[in-house]
Amino acid sequence: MRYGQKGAQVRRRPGTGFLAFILHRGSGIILAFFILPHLYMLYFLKDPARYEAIRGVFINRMAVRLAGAGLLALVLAHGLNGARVMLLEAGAPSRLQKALFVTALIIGLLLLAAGARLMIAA
Amino acid sequence: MRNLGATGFFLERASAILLVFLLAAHFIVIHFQGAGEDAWSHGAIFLRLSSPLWLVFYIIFLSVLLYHGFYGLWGIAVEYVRRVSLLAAIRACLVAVSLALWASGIFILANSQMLLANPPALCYKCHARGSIPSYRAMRFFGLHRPWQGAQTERALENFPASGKDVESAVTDPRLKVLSFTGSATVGWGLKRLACDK
Repeated sequence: MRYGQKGAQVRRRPGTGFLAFILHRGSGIILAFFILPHLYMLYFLKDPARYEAIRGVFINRMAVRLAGAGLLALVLAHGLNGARVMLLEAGAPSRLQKALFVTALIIGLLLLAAGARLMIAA
Repeated sequence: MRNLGATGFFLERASAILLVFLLAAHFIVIHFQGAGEDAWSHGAIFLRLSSPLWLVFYIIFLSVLLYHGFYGLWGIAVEYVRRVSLLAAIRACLVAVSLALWASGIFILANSQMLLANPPALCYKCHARGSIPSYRAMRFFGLHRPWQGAQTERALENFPASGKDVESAVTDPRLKVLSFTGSATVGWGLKRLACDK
């Protein structure tokens, strides 16, 4: 990874800040585009039989349930990283950014474990 | 982010804080009930949508979510795109798509309210779908007699008819099961008529 001005030979290992940035941005883009299929499914609410048929696919397939847990992971990654960014913007010392990232990661994993258990359970 | 304006920036932060609560409520009510539960079944969703509070919740949720999501995409575009004309085109696309999605969401909610106010009647004989008033109109003009020729493995649902028509329908041997929601007088009357069902 190359940082600084064009042509600079400074090479750094991607840090937690970069990782948090990629996580936040990637999850945000996926979640923004997820609104479209979500609304598309709700469009079938006008037809109970068709809606229930589509819902049956979601309920009966483990892969789809795991995808639901993945959605929760994206929401948590985006939300907790956003909280971290807002804390830093609000005046939290930048030297704490790594600690904030690790804290967000731990809270996120705990919430994901609890939420995914409920979402995957039949 | 450049050129976004302080108002947009603060609205982005405000919508993020609001989304924490809205998404938490959404996940707790819909997704944390277990995959096989009925929280997001058609009936459960319509039961929630019959409450004005839930309706307001979904309108706010949709609006805040779309603002946050598409303002975020605009922020990314501003960071990477240098050409002003291209930025203007991206902005126009984002505004158009977000407004279209918002209108779709509002249409779904409005449609659900219309369905709640005017439940659909479904005839499995002729596969006609329509509101109860439209069935009444068809019945009035003698265009639709849903029970005639009905197949035994199928069903009549939300069956609107006059008392005389109901009598001939519930005593029809092809009708195997009868379910009724309404007054006790009519219910017991139907039970007497269809005692073998």
